[in-house]
Amino acid sequence: MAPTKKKAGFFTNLYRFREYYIMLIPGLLFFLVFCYGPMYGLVIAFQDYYPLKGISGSSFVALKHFKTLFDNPFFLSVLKNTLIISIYKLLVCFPAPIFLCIALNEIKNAKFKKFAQSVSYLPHFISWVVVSGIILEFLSPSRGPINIILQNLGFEPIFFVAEPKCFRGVLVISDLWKSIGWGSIVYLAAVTSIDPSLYEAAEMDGAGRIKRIIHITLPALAPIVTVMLIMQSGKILNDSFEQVYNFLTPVTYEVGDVISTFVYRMGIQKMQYSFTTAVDLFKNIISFGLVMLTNYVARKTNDYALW
Amino acid sequence: MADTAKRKRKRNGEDWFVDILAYGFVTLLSISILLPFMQVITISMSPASVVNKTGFHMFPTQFDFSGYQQIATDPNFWGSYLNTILRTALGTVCGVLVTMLTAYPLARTNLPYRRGLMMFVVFTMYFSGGMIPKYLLVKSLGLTNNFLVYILPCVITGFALIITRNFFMGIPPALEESAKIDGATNMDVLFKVYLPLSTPVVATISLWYCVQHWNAWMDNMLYVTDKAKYVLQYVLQTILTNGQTADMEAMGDMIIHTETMKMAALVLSLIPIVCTYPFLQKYFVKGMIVGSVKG
Amino acid sequence: MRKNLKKATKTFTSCLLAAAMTGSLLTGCGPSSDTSGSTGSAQGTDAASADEDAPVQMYFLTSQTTAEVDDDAEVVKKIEERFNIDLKGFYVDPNNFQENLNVKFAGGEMPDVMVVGSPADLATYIEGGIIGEIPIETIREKAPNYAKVADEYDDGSLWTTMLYKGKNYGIVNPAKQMPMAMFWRKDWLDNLGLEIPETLEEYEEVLTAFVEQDPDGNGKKDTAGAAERIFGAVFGAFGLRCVTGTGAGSGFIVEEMQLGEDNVPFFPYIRPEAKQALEVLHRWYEKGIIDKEFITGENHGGYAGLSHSFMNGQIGLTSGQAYVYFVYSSDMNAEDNLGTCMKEMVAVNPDAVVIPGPAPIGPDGKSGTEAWGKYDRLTCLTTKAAQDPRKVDAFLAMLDAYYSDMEYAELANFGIEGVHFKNTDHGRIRLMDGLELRKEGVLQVDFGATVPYADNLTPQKTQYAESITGNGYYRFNAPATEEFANVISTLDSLTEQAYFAMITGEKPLDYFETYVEEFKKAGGEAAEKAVQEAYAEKLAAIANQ
Repeated sequence: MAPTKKKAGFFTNLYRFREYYIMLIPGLLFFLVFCYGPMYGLVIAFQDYYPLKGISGSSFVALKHFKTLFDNPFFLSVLKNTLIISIYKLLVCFPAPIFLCIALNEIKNAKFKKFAQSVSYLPHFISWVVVSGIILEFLSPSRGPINIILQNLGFEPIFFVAEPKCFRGVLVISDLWKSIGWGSIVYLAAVTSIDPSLYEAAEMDGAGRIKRIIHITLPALAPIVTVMLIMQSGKILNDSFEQVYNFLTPVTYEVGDVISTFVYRMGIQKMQYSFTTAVDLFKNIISFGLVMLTNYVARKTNDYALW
Repeated sequence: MADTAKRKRKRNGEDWFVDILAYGFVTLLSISILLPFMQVITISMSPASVVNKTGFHMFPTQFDFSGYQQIATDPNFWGSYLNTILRTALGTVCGVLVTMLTAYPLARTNLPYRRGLMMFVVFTMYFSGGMIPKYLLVKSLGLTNNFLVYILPCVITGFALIITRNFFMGIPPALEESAKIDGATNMDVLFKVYLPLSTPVVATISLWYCVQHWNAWMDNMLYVTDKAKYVLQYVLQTILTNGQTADMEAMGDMIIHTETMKMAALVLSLIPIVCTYPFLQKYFVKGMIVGSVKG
Repeated sequence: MRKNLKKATKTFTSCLLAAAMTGSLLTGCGPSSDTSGSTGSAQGTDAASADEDAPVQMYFLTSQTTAEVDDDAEVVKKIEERFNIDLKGFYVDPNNFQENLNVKFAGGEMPDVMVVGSPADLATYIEGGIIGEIPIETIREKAPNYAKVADEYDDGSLWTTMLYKGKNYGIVNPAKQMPMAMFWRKDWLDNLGLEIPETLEEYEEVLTAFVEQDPDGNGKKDTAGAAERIFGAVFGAFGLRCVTGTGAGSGFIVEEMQLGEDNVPFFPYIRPEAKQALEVLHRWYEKGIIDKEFITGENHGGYAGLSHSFMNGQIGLTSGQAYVYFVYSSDMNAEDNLGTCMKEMVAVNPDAVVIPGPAPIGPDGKSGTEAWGKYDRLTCLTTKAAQDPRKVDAFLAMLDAYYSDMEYAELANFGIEGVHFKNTDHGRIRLMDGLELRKEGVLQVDFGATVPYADNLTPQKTQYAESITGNGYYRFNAPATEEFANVISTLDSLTEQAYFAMITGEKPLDYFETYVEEFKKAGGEAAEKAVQEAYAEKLAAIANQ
């Protein structure tokens, strides 16, 4: 019954699926030229690179920059902060757009839905410089509305941005506010392609609203959520320099100083292009490793992994 | 079946609960976004005396449009607006096309080397050679000061590709087979079968590409020195930087209203996006009856 | 499963190799850093000038601006004529300035004349092959007037600034740097019947009154005394130069060392006197004199010199450059007298009255505020220019003229009367903003507020600033050393955290000794020694010249 499985050769495959491969040409060409073309620049992380001398003219120093990074007394603390903040954001800011998407899906009033959608993504376009200014004013211990309310209730005002215990919370919540709307767009695409008759059929079968959400909406989102989760996990070492930089003060370095702000301060004295490249490479290696890991896990659970 | 459509279910407790939760959450979110936005708009048209006062400014009490004036009278502003519109239109169309072309084969589970190709793509999302090598590449390709430098080096993103591919993977292969039996080519299948079914995802990536091109300024900064080819965000950035140059000795007596200008710049670049999105929204609302196509 | 992953990885790596090979083929195996200039009309490349008498093209990069020089502007033509050069601006976008500059270098482009931020930057540029040597003898020979002024204002360190590994790489300008002035809310003082304080104790009394006695008369206890901008003055009362940045929350600038009376540089942050200053600041913080929101800074956006806390009446005392508040007189109603910050303040609060005051005198009789470097505006010739004797000559001639010919200095820095500035009883007033001026060629080839400039071209401003300020702790241009560069950011983080903690009381003042130990262990001791040795070497080298 088992036919002889002859593994097709490279050129046979190329020919058999040639129509598909031809369609792939523009995209692959793009990646090849503009992404892999400059990829040799990664070697800068292993040199003492000077722009004028170029890569061929700069001396090779192997792992010197990585050593500088790892040997720094603040490195572990900074790494820890970056990871913790990313994990908090993953726990809070990842599900939030999904929640918003479901909520919007449950809203029947079309006009309100459209309006709310349009409003929700506005913060994505405002830069952190502007947002932080507004938030600093909002959380001000002397003038901010929150503290005024607290004081009226008899509590002491809290200087949120300067309080180490609250700082990460400020970062997470402000990021939530800024990204929830824009992030929900990708989920909306999945949700709107759900066949409405599925809902009707479930309703007829006596399923309540919540049950319908759990059994229809969520599964429809599963593929996209998987992909997003895999890619987000790779970003665990990424941090939003702009966001943190605009909120960070020396009193919160211990909890809030992340890799990018730390490297930024290190760069001021040395102006070394290579050092930043080395740090980026370090982050990227870890990110990609994590992506491979989560992708592997995802493949075991459903079909929608990245590869 | 007509019965179902006509029967109105009684709203029970669960309905109220879900509605309150959904409406409540969305309303709260909307308010929390609108309020700061009102501040942004107010500051964009307020004089410095108001702007420098601490506290919130929700409604303009005094009007000062010098921020808008300064931007609108910049010689490069209107030209750059046009350039950006052109770039966005062209870039989005190219981006969506190439994305779809590339996603379609990669959605075939039987395509050989598919996994390797996906890794090939995903790898580029995490590793990059850096700004200088990219600059040298663009220069050697002759793309500096060429309008195409706004399109080619960023024509698609791996992210959009992955999302589109995954969406395509959700379309039953039976559709392709039956279309091919009727004599359709791959291109036919892509544009006549897949495209109509994928309006939500196409709308999504169109929006992403639109916004990406609309907000782009770094490629302008690095690769383009010809003022006639400047894009909007770059011109705005430049105007704002001028206002912030620590030129204390030189300026001496000139007042720099950077906050107002910053907000005005923000508002000006947001207006088209706010206007475009509702247009795209109808593609999100239109759900697809996949079942009906299932012969 | 694993087999599939292996297969995919194999496919992937073969793709990658193919990609890398194709990629590098396409880009020609890495950049050829050809410093002999790139093709086409790239900046910084010389047009072939066969004629020895033809003007030599010179590209100037002197400030971070978006202005592009107009070749036909009158100022440009005049300068070109006088020195027989073809004046060009080397344009680098100030957004991400350093990156843009690096990109230009990578492409083989560079200017002829460049202003450098500090000796540390200088070292990096020299190592990178950007900056070229100009021997001191050549400078003395071709720019004697400059040399004369430089010698006059030399405290022993001027000529060492541009030395690196025994060679000289440019010039510094002796600047008439004014220290920061202290600015009080006079209406608050009047309301409470107080005099402008002079000693540290008097400061404390007045500032406490600001907190306790409702100086703005609104019935609420919502006013503080001051915020982070006066920290420099408090440290100055103990003989130290510890400076806070002007940006929000930027803390202390630890990389700026101080030059002692004995001509030996040191880190002020670890001196015992610093603990005394911290004691004062902590006490003031507890009393509410220091605004609790000093952590996020007095400035809330916009022009960095503005103090929103001061403008909005949250504090009654701030510090800043004299001319951002008053140009030539303390009279708020004098014509054309209000600086940028004062103008903005009056717009927000028309009833506010501001008056300058002296820096506080400490228990040992010391006082003073921070000032920028006495030797400022490090200007260099790039390797490209240093190889061309005509450019060297032209540059030194321009330098010399700026120091000897005040009319030329006026042209280079102010422009043409009636067009770019006007003369009034109180000095010259500019008629255009910095961007416009630079497009016209003004402020492109000048050397800043040098001593002759300050004395001759802006005398009222200079004299006024001198009258309202006292002792200045000048910024010291520390020579670049490996030990310093490697650890300074760590020392910075360490110091900022420690200082802020001690001021707010999160850590007790006894922590100071622990902090000093940590500082030294983290490389601070080695760095300080290295800088001291490097500086001593330079002094010796100069003495032998």
